[in-house]
Amino acid sequence: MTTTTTKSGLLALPLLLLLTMAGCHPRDGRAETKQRELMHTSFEELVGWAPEIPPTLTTEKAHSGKFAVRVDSRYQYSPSFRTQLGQLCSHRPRRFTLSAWVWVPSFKDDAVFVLSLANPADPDHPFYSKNVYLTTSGPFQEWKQVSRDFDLPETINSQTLLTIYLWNSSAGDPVYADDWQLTELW
Amino acid sequence: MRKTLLSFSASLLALSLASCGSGSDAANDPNTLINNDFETLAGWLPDPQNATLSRDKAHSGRYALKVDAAHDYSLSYRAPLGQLHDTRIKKIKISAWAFVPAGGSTASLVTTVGNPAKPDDKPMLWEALELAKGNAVGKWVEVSKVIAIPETAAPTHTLGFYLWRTGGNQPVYLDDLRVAIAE
Repeated sequence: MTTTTTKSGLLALPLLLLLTMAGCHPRDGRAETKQRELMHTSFEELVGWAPEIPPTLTTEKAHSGKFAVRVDSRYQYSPSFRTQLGQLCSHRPRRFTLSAWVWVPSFKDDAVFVLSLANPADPDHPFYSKNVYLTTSGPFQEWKQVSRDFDLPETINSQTLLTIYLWNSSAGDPVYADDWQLTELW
Repeated sequence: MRKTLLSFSASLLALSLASCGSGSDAANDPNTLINNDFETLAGWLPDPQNATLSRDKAHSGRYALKVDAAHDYSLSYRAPLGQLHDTRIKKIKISAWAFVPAGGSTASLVTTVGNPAKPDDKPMLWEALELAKGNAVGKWVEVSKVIAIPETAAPTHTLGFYLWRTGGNQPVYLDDLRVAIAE
């Protein structure tokens, strides 16, 4: 399920309500469930702390702060967020939500977010890989928020390697992204 | 022209309001050079640096810098002096929150100024701020120090910071690092 909206709150609320009412879950009987943040970045702190400045880091556009990432035909991959699941959660996560603000020139510039899960012994061949599509609906040439829920497979464990990045795919013109957030419903 | 200026300053205002991270007052202060609560770096750095970001303890948020028996040095900050401020930086005040466990572990927050073109030369400035002093162990303690930047430092010279383990085997944590122009 992919949702694209400029006003995230409007869609998120009924969705959250639906999810809460869905029941049949080990956390039944607990007081409340909410989106717990696992990662956020607006790319402001990488400069200075990263050993090298990633070539996709840009100040041309930003949704918040000074920096965003830009992918184009020359630099096709953004910096990757990479971690073992055990670093994020002390339990087995069921569902992640990835959201971000993106600036896409037109419906032809179909860059995608990639979220993948891999065995640490074979990090280059993920057993799970899904996309967040940026061009299924507008607006274009302005900032919009995109998000997608990911139901995680049963085969994951605390060692499983999670990787998230933006990929140019076949986009012709530069695509920008800022304010990435990963949450879980818990 | 006036309208452009107005909308420019409005967007500047919006930008500074939007900046997130810890202590938004500090973040909006033009004298602030670095203000990092280490919440947005974990997962984005190569493994050796990433390993010194920890969720074991934090003064704010969930993450802090950590040095331990396996890591003598934390990830480090480096930036050319000329990129940090428009005018020559004469003095800086470093402040941070540190957690040194009881049991004799020690660590220092190291400040350096050096020439990036000659990385093997002795840096023109090397100052260690010792984190464990007296009985301030087993709890979060604020540490700070004012450091004069050498007059001979050029805008291309880099200002650097890192956490350095100097003794013991227990992990030492540092969080909420702020560097600002002093005076």
